[in-house]
Amino acid sequence: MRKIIPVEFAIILTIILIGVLLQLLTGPFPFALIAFPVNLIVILLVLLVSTAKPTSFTGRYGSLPISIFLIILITIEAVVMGLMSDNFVKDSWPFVLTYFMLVISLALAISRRLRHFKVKDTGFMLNHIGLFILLVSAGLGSADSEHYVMKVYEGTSENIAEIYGTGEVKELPFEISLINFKMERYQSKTFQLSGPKSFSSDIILKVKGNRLKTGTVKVNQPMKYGSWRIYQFSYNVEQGNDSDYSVFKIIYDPWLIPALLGIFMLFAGAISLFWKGGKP
Amino acid sequence: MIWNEFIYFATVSLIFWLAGLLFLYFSKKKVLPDLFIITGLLVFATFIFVLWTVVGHPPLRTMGETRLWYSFFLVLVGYLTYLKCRFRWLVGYSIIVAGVFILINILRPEMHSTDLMPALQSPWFIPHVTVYILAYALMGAATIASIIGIFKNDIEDRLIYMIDNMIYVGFAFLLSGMLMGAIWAKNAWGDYWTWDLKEIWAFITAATFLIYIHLRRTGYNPKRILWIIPVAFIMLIITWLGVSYLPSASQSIHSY
Repeated sequence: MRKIIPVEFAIILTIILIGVLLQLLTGPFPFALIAFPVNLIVILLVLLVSTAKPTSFTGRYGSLPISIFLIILITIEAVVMGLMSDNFVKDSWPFVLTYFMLVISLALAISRRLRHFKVKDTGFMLNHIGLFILLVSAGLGSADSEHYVMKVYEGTSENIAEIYGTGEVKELPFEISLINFKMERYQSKTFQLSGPKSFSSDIILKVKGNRLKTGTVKVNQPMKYGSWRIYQFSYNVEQGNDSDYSVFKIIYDPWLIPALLGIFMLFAGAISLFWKGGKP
Repeated sequence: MIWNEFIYFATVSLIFWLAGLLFLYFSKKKVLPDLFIITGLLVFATFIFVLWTVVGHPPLRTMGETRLWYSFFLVLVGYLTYLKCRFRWLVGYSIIVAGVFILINILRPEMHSTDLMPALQSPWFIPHVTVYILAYALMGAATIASIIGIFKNDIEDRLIYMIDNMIYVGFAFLLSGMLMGAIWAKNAWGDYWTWDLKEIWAFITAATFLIYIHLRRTGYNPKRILWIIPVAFIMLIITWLGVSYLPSASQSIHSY
């Protein structure tokens, strides 16, 4: 093991301690602060910082012992998260700061390896760059995502949606017309009503009155429109098949494409792990 | 119900496996142990196949069903690793652990309605659960081997290499299972990651194995690092079987 670096460990713990204090004083991490373009600028800064020499003060945070230390810390925080009955840890200052330090350490570790890249490092690169892209899109990118719930009656159009969780209303850049809501149930073996087999809505997506898309939205099959996704969410449960309205969950995530890129790189990285099988 | 017949299939399989194990240790005939272990696996696979046809979809949904596959894969992994690395005890311990899970299934089958709710009707459902069970089986075998390693006075490189091998392959499956779950979740619920209770513990499990993988690159005394594997396996068991007993389980999309 390379020489132990207590200074770096102490700095990391201090930052987490500051996070704890901020949490106690100001409450959860304000994600709105890092909404676009702040998150993009932060990512560019991280990339700039990652060019630091491995032996420099900053560069040492990309070393193996520091990476391990950070993974241990985030695992401990996740255990706390997993034992709490209400999940406040995921939005808390110490967790967000640990996550961010992990992202920086990952960037530094990648740049370290890139300095003398060899073909056999391909698996390492797929796993680490893929994880970096995914962590950045899922973490910093989440500040730009929007979640809505929209209720549409059969035969009508709607462009006003409620913000999921808060109940505030907002006008969306498109409207949804509900043509028909359908539902199928499983064949009942007893006299009780059995669970739903599928439920779906035939909809038309319109922008400024122009028909843009026609299709069926059902569970596991959302409708795509740019960075927007429209999901079948609910219906009038008492009326079942005769439900006169359908409820959609509408999600905007401009960071979805990079997140998927990270996911596919990690898939390829997993194949390389399988292939390599732990050979030193 | 087909589960009532499980005890017969399981007993026959276990008898074949144990006979195969005895031959492995005490018989000079090379073909006997292989013949018996493979026959046991075939009998067990027959039950899974019959169950599959009866419920009408791959039996991968209830806890009892995942334990069923786990017992099968664990013996399979133990046997295949034996073929590669020639550690006989690994076959023995795999059969014992598989036996424990078989016993749990006999005592508490945890069978529910066979209807699949809409969110589970996804092409990702089968690969997601299958790779996870395979990963759990590999990690289970690696845990058995690591405990043997911890209590040995000096560990052969061959054993450490085998453990690393299982952890890497197991981690590849664990990671793939998580990523498939993420893509599925994006299509079914709208977000690829929400820190759902099962997700939190799956993250903890993967991160703990990741700590092992990274520590092994430090050149630290391997015997001390081996301790991480049983700890990671405890996290795995919490993820798989324990999560439903935690206070916030009812909010989870993974409660079956």
